[in-house]
Amino acid sequence: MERLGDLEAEVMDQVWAARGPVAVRGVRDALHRTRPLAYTTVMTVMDRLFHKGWLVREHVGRSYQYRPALSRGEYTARMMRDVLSTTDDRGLALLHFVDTMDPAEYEALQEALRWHQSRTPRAARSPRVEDETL
Amino acid sequence: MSLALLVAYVAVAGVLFPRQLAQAGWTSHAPRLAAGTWLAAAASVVSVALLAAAVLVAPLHTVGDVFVLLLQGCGWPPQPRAPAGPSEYAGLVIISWMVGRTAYSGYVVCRAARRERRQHRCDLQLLGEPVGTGVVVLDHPQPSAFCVPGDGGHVVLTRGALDVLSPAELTAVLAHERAHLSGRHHVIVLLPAILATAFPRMPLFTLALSEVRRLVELAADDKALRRATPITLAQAVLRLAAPASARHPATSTLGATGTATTERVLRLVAPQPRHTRLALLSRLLVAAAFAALPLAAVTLPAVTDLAYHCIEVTPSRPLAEVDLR
Repeated sequence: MERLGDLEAEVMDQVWAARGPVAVRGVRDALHRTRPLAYTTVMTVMDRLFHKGWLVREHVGRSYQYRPALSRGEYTARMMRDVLSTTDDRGLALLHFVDTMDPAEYEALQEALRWHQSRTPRAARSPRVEDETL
Repeated sequence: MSLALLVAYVAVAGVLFPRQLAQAGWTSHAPRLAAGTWLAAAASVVSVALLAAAVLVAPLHTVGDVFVLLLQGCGWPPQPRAPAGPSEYAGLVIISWMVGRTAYSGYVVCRAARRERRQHRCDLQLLGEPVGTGVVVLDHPQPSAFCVPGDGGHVVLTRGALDVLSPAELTAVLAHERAHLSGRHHVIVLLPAILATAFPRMPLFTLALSEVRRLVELAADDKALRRATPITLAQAVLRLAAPASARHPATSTLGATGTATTERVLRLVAPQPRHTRLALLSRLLVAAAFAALPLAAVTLPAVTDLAYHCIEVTPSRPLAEVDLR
């Protein structure tokens, strides 16, 4: 399951990287150097991506030519819109660090924080926090 | 008599008490105890309401008997009979309505959350760039951080968040999100969410949902403070909560205070009042009382003749013969 997901990500990377429509063979050849795969494997993965709505395809000759349905940036923007929308009862599916504040509240808090920082300069330097490597 | 008491309990604990608790100041300083109190109160009111409906069908003493018999493993009571009279039918209808509604809401809420999470995981797998154990970066300019529970859990940071956070602040944010995941906060939120969906008119459940959501944020902040100073965490909150217009000078001068985020930040930077052991203990007792009361209400009337139970009961009947009520 995990492997198939990885494969989907790699195939999508190749389709996004390609300038125009690509065929299964083109993706397989592009992947070949890092990850040799059977033609049918790549075909299955791309078929799945088509059915999930990530790829669109059209008949050219005897095979399909695939294109991404949306660019990577457009997909990311769509996901962030889903994540940030505050209309529904989300918070069940994921937990946010913080919601966006309105400007007045933000200014007031920024002011309060500056005041506290100026009062306790030692705390601001955070001596005991070591940087964590991601 | 007992019915009136039970209904009064549901009214007080379900309507009056939550308004008090939602306004209490101590909840912000002991978020885990407060969340536990909300959950205990919700569970308590549900079970007492069920008990009140059961009392319509049979006297409290009999209900207690049945409960104790089941606890002792003696089987079902000797004389099951068909319901007679309108109040017994009403009791059965209320019980099945409550159970059915809760079960249906549970199904709907859990399915929606799971489906949405699966969608997010699928999106993340294709769009996100894994940068460490359980951490994924999304290439998006808006500073944001969140976690997607399930399947080990992932912390998601946007490129924008990496741009605005200092290394120490980043540590604080990661610690906060990991506290959500390790504390299984998404599961804790589920119980009040299910009850609030099933019975949206009940103030206790709707308030419990919003309060528990607020409190798990504070609990995660507390845990994050092991890895960051309060000022650093507060600064990180502000950086990720910055409105888009904050990069330009703010024109509005209205002081908006009192929202959850303001309280959260001020709680970090202002010194916390000390609470005495006695105050803590009394609040713990309140939570424990909520949890214990339904059990006590059902067993105490029957406990006097506890010793006779298994002796009195004739050999128990097979389950099929008994009206499941």
